[in-house]
Amino acid sequence: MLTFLKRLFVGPPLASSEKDHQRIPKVVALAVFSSDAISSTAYATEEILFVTALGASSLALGLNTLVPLGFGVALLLTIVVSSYRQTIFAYPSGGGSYVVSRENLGELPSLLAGASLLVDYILTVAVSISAGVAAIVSIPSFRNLAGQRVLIGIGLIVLITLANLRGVKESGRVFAGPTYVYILIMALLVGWGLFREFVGDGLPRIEPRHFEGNLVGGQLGLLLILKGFSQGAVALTGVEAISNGVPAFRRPESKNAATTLVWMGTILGSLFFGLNVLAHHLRPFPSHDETVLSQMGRAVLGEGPLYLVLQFATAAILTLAANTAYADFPRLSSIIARDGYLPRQFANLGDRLVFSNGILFLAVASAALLAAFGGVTNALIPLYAVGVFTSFTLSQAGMVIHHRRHREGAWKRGIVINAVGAVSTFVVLGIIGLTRFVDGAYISVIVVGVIMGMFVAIRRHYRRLDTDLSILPTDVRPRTLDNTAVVLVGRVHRGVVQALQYAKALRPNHLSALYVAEDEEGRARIEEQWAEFGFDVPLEIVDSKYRDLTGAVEKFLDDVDARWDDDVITVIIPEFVAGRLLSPTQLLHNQSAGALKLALLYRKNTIVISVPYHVDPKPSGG
Amino acid sequence: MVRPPLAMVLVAAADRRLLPALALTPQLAGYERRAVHIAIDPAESTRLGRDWMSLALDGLPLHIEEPTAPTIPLIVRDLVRRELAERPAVTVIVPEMDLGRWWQPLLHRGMGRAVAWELDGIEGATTVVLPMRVDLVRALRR
Repeated sequence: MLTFLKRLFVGPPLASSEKDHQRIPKVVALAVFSSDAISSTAYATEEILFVTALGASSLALGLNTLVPLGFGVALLLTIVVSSYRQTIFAYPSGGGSYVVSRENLGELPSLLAGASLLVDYILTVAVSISAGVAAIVSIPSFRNLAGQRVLIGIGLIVLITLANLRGVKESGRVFAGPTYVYILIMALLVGWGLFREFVGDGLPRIEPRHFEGNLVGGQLGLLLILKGFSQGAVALTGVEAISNGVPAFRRPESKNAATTLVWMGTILGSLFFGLNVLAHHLRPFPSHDETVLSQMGRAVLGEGPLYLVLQFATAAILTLAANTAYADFPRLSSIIARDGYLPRQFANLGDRLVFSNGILFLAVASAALLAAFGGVTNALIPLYAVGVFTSFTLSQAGMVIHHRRHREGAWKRGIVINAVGAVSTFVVLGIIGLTRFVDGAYISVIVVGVIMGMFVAIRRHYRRLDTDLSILPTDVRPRTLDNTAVVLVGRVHRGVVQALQYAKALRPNHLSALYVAEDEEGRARIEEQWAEFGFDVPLEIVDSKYRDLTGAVEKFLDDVDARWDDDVITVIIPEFVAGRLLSPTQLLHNQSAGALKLALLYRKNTIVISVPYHVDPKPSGG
Repeated sequence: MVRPPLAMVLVAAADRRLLPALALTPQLAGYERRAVHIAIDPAESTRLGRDWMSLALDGLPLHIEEPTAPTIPLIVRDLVRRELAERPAVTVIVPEMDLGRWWQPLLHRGMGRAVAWELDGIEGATTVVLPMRVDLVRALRR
């Protein structure tokens, strides 16, 4: 049933030879890797106003900051895009900030970059989905859905997860349409709005009927302006996605990725700056009932079909922006897992040639975050930008070292570009830390620290294991062994038959089945069953009045040791398997077998073999 | 011509996990014996080939197989089906670490169960999970 459902939703397995066919052209890549960055235009302007227009400030002062802050963010975007173009050509195999830091700055900076990026990808999903839901519930006829934000958000996460489990190319196809519709409708909103304002008859101003702050007057200090800038800087989140995903591009990968990055930067910068200029003239106000973009859409496009296209395209691209994280989180976690800092399961390709475990982990973590913050975008934003700007800074600093070491091509120009990028993003990181720490940025700092600690602990575990498992030629001297095989029996079932067949194939010097009886009833039942099935293997029964399975088996094996002069004793345990993964049912059934196996693993000259068998977990027994 | 049953030891690396398999396979009288490595990572395969020679494991020839499917259990299923076309039985022996800790499935792949799942229902195929104790348990207790 599980397999049927998997095939139905995720699709049939793909052959490994199809891996190369999963590479995507630039036009699809722009949608897959840029929807995160471009979609932030839907909420970045609003987030600036939420900080600069409320409290001691006023709407008028807040609106006045939009153009200079929009310019500042656009300038920062230009610097970061120029820096990441260098990274794309220097690291065509992808990995972005983590790989650049690992190779140029050392272990700890790379772990900081990796942890920051992983947290950022989870936040990207949560923020994008919550903002997408906000766009839907801003439409007047859908406002009654506002109370169901979390449920709608989780439903959308499930849909994106399924699309991504099917494979990147197919999900790219799904996402290309809404991304391009959003770019076109936003270009129309900004272009037509500015045309009407400056060339045409002018635009009507938005009436701030439900605005809860001051309309004019108030005070706007430097700290609040910097706070507004740090809010606007969330527009840059997702810019690094292309540099992480270079291997997913068609050949020549680096050239195509660099071109796509410039397309993305141009679209994002133009839309964001244009929108801020337009907002400065239209005078929208920040509100939890209707987004700033929705207010501007109604003012410029009216409340007809074009407004609905804007709102649904916004909801769609914001929902699909999460796909950028779905493209990058699994890929980055697989790289970190290959380096031994994350469980190896994250490096496994699933049967649809995607890193299924990374996709599933991202889905669960982002859904939990969305639920914890009630699906409110504004509450998640302070957590958001810390990780992004940490990884930007480390990546650019790493590139400076890279240029100095390799001295390839125009390396001096590269140093200047990346040094400017590193300093700029570090300054922004400082601003975010200064202005948003108590608002929630501290949560990201703690989580990143915990993840780094986990990375180190996992790496230490694997290293220790490598040492424990190392082998020498003297360990593997072949010789013929005298062997006694013992099959453990709880009751007679298909698994026991299979285990007995296997034990016979071993051609042991002595073979017996062992039953540990806790009471007379159990003893009588197994004797009856053994006789009924007519097994040609002697059944030995030992009593254990105190239900100590392990102790009873160990004592029996000690007796066998004394009885026969064996080199080894092979203990065969039929083991119930309920599914591909360790399921709760399986844990219930195998607890005693597991404890026994562990004890026997430490017994000298004893080989323990588990012979797995499958049964339907529904019936009782096992 | 029908070939003898095959005992196929899945190998990821030449390490201590192999020891129980090396002790067990000679007991399987009448079986053809073979170690099988799936070449997912070329560097890992090259290292294994070199280690195999240096350990002089002549009694258990190593076969390096190219992946025919996206996951190791699916590749093993393909291999077993191929072998069963000319043999009565194939036993797949999967050496596994046993740390005896609840978090073990989180950090280790547990390939034995996944292979057993894929081979379930294939007539003539048996999976044997051969656990290898790791002294890490003791070290962790200290």
